Amino acid sequence: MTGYPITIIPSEKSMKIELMEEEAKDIRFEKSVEELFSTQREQDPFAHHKVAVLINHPEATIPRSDTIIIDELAVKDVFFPVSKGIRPQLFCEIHDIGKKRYITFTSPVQISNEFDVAFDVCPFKSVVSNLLY
Amino acid sequence: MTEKTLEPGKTTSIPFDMVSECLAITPSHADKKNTKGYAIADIIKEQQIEIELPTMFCKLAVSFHKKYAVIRICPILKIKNCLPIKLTFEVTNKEIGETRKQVGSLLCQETAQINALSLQDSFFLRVGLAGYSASAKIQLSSRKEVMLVNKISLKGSTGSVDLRVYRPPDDNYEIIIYAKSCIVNETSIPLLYFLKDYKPFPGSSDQNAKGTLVFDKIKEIRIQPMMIGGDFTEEIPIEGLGDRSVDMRMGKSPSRRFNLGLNISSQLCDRKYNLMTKVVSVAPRFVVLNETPYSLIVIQDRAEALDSTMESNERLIMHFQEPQLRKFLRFKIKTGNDGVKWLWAGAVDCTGPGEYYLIMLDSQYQRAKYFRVSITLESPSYYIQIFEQLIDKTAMRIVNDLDCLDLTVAQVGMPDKVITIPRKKRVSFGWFEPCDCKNVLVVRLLDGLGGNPVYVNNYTFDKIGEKIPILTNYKHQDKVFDIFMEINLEGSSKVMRFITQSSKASAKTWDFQASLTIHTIGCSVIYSRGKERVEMVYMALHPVAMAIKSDKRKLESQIKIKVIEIDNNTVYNTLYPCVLYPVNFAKENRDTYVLDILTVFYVPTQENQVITRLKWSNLMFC
Repeated sequence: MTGYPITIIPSEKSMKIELMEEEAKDIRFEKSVEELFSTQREQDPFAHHKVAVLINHPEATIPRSDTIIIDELAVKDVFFPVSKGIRPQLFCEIHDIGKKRYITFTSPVQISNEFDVAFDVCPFKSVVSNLLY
Repeated sequence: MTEKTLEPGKTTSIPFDMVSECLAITPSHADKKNTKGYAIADIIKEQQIEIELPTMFCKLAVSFHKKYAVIRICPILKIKNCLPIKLTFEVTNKEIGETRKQVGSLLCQETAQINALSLQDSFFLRVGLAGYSASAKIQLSSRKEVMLVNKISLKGSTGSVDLRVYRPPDDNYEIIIYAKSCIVNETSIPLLYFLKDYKPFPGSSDQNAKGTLVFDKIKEIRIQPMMIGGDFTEEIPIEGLGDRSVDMRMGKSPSRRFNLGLNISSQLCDRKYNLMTKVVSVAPRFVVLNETPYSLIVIQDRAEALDSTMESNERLIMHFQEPQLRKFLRFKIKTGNDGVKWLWAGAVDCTGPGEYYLIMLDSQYQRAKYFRVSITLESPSYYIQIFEQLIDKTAMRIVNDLDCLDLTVAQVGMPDKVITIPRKKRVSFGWFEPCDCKNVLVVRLLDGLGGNPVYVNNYTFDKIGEKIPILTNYKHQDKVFDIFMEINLEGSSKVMRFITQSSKASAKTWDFQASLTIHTIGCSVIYSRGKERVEMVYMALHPVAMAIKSDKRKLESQIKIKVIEIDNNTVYNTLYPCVLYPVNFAKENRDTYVLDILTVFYVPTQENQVITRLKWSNLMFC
């Protein structure tokens, strides 16, 4: 829900997940070496799980975000390293449905349709350009 | 962000680098010629704006979800019909001479989205129901304020009805219309409703005699079938919830009687806001379902003249006609091409839930069919399901496992119908009269000589798992038997089995045994005075052997002593001790004992017997 395709990079660096806008895929987290050799049982199974996000912007190169720990059900800010050009603003919403944890990356504004008819939504400029052609 | 089509109920996001731009929203079907743009930042700042689209008004309302905002494209006003019947509505911007108007009709649970009026308008609502005049126009809101509206009254030829209006506290632009109560006619009979004093019930008329009525608060009703000679029922209280039963008559003919049931329950009409409507369902009281492969004839018990025929897998609405007779049902298989005439199966009480197992005999008493009748109350109707039971899967079976005796069984109170079970045979079983007679069996054991009863008693099928002794020490061909009755479950069948002791008991016995041998048990009696100690008597038993043994049926214990020695030391010049031993001890017969006590304790007999055998061997004194 960011408006652009994104790449999700879980804490295990070998695995990357490409997501188109409004697409969802499952992530499987492997246990870390510390977890495997730990004698204590972890209270929160998500305590060590982290993800980072890479926005595949068509016109700009945006660096990979800082990692986000998905240990709590909340809406978290996604921080990006300071760079020239576009400054992304994203949020990461973490919630559970049943036993599954859902991570939604979203832009600051969503738009929903509560009407029983469909609407076409677009930036104002693109309407003008459509009319021109 | 390119153009996106946002389907009803869907959500999308505005890319983060476009939130400072303008947004264009147009209905997909409309021309985009005059599309306007709306600054996203302004929408979020205002939280609610109205936009005028080519064919409609709509509202952009903003709700915040923790850190991000959601712009909702909403209708200006929503009207939801939570009545169980169709509702027509008209929303206008003025009471008279309106310039904007939207009309429509809503079926049960449908919602209308009002988009013909602007948020700048006042809202007036008029509603209508079949059988009533349209309501007056009710003002819901003006430009400045929202009016408090709780109910809308509609007038009809037989009275008026009040509809309830609910406006959620968090959304003044949603209106829910519902009723406090309604009556639903689930019979196929056209019904008219009346008040306690025989005045017409509001809304009840020829047009909706098979339909649904809504009403507000009425305590009692009377029902009348809309047929020639249809009589009023007694007054039926409908204020409280629950199940009611009522008979409706057509004139004075006894054969035109309808058994109706009323279920009064409170049901959710709007799940989101927990709005409730009391629903009075009127339905046939008794529905018979023929789940057998046969055509059945069913009657009210003792009213054989008024029979009904049901084909296999057919449903029959049963109306018990004779008010002076019980609401009991009997059925039999209709005589088919095979010419077999069947007798009526036992009467089944239909006034309460239950499960009955019946036997049906042919007129020659040569064949039997077994049935299960299941009666369930799904208020307000009783469903009477008739199933056939296959011979090898009947709910009850009786097995005569005896070699020596035949068996007859009969239901208590039905002495003329006796089932004989020869030795080593089994039969299926069902009750002849499951409701009129007790579900108790009279069991007779008959000997093989002249069929004389050697034992008679009553049993039920209830004591599952118990093994009951019924005859002990029965002599047959120089053998003695104990005879038991036990009831076990085999699948879903209860099996009453008559067995002899040898057939089962040996498999279930368990035993134990233990023994202890002590070489010598000795005892000295010592006289003590000051520092002086003098042994007066010494007594010794040796060896002492003890044993215990049980095989559940009996418990045996034994104690044996071979030699008893007594030394009298009071006389200092005693030469030899006194020893008791068996006479043949000297012959080295080691199996003889001076004392041998055996105790046998029989456990399962009615009077526990203790047999003690005390054996004194011939003694020799030295």
